[in-house]
Amino acid sequence: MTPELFEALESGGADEVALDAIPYAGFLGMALRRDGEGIGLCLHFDPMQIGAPGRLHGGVIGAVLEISAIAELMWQARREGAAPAHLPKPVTLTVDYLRAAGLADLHARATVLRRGRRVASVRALAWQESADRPVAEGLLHFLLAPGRSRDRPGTSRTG
Amino acid sequence: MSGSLTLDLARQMMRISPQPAALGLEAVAVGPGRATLRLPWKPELIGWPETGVPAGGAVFTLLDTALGAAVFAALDRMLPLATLDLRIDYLKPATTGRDLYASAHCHRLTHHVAFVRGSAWHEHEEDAVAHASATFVIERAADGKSAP
Repeated sequence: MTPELFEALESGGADEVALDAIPYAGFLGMALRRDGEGIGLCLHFDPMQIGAPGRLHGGVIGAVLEISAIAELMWQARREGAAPAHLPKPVTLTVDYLRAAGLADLHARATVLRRGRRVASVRALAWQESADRPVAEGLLHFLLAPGRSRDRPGTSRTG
Repeated sequence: MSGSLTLDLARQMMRISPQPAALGLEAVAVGPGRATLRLPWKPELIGWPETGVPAGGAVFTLLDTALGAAVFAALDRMLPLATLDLRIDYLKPATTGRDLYASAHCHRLTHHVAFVRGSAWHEHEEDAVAHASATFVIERAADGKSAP
């Protein structure tokens, strides 16, 4: 989740940017996009994402939920001028599979439930046709890397 | 619990299912209610570019597949499964450049639900990088017809 990715979305130069900077996200085909004032994740459908016939693989859905949660944490930290040097580290992830996910694009958005100094709790939702009918919901806990002080923006770093 | 899943059949499943095939997942061992898979290292698995550590999602997919395979290894015939929930605890970062294994055990099987535990590791199950547990719904048809 490099500063360049967020800058591309913020400047309005792009509605969507590919997440190739994270090899695994690029491998699956994830992209970050603007979603109103916030951001969301989009996984454009590709047959390699299939698990059982006609369905996306449950692991792919879990991966999307996790990356959307990380992106939301980094986006929020950036908005506050305290972008951390490193990505947050997932500790636990629980996914509830609510509906079958078919062969179509998958969208995800995360909400930070609580962010402390070292720990954050994030809820992520994945859907296809409508966010009102999510295919899966995830609850994640992260260990946060120390942030930089707001008083000293310093130079940007990848993270 | 007797199982209908042979190692050959498990290997075929890994090749036929597109995501496991794309990841290169391999079935290593199966037993009654048990399955072990290997995820060979490749750079596409990286989630942390600075360190090369594999993405949590890759470990998640490895475990999800292994847990499902353990259910097949517990059922007396192949039936469609739907994951209800899956929880993973990341005990420590996986190591870059190293193959990952996942071993899973379906420890309880009811008519409708399977309960499974598993772990992901490099060398030994006792030194796991992640633990997981999941429940699956077994889509049994009534009157022999396919479930919707």
